[in-house]
Amino acid sequence: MSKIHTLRNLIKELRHGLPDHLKIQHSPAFTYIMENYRRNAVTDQQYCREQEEMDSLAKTMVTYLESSRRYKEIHDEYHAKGERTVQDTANIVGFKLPHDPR
Amino acid sequence: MEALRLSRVGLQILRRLPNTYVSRRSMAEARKRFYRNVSVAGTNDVFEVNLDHRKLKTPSGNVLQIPHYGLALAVAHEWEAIKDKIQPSLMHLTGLSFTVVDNPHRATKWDIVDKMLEYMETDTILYREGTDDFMELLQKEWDPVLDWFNKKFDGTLKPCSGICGADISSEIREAVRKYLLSFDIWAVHGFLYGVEALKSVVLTIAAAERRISSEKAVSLSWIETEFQISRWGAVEWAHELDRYDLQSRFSAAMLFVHFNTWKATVKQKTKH
Repeated sequence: MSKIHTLRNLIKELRHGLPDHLKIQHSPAFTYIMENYRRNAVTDQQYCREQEEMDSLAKTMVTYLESSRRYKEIHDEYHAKGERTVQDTANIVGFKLPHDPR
Repeated sequence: MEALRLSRVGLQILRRLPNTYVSRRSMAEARKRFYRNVSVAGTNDVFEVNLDHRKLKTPSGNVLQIPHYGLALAVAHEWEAIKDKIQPSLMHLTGLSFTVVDNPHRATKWDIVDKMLEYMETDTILYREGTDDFMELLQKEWDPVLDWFNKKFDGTLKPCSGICGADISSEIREAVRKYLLSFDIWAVHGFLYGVEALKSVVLTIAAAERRISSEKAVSLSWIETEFQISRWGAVEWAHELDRYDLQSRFSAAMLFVHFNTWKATVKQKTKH
């Protein structure tokens, strides 16, 4: 994953977490990320330890936000609704119920 | 007489129950989001998270003070991201920060490092068992990390099988102890959380040293499940769920290590 790609993913995940009424440009986390990226952007072609560290930190953050989000999504889909009906259970595994169950 | 009365009351209750059984868990209902704005305030050394105008406090009632601005922002983001109900068990960065500030087990840095070292004998990547093709896969995936680790700590860790744990020489144990003790208490808590997630000191240190990404570390520790999945297929609500849980816990641990060591390197730079 290239560095700019990581940044894009990070912003995407960040936006995902914000409530609708908040603009990402007003988020302090966004400002912080951009400040750090700009500060380290000067030595783009050279090997720069801090830039590498920042990139790996950003990647870890993306992993964290993404997997927490996916966890919640799957949990809400399968585990958050309490007991399912026989019909629902059958649908999950792709079975059909006989028309007259008795 | 009394017994008869009680049984009658019992019968009445039974009669009142509807025919369908509704499963219920007797846990407290999760709290709803009770604040609107989340912000981070602080000076150069200490940062606090504010929910509206109240300071975020730990379960023991201490004000949560975080030594790194980036980490404070990440904790604040967890609170910002709550749409409806607050589920503390899914907010790993908040939970870890609470643990460091409250220190519920009164553990010193030394205790925590000791706890981690206990995982070394049965380290995930030292413990190998299975069919020939699986062992080959393990060798291909795990050996590079193990070689790197041996080189870094000047040790000769070897994989083992059977019921005995791996042979850990006291030299390498002390080398790892010294390495872990060189971090501050925040980072050390991150290390412990990572080791407890993957059950591997080697993988956790490799990820902390940026030798492998945290995603890669999780998939290396998860290799047997992946091997089984490739044969038998994946179940989304079990395998995927577990994997994302592990991934989010381990990456939270690595964020803790990296945020808290990042500050140290930046400080060093300004000194020179």
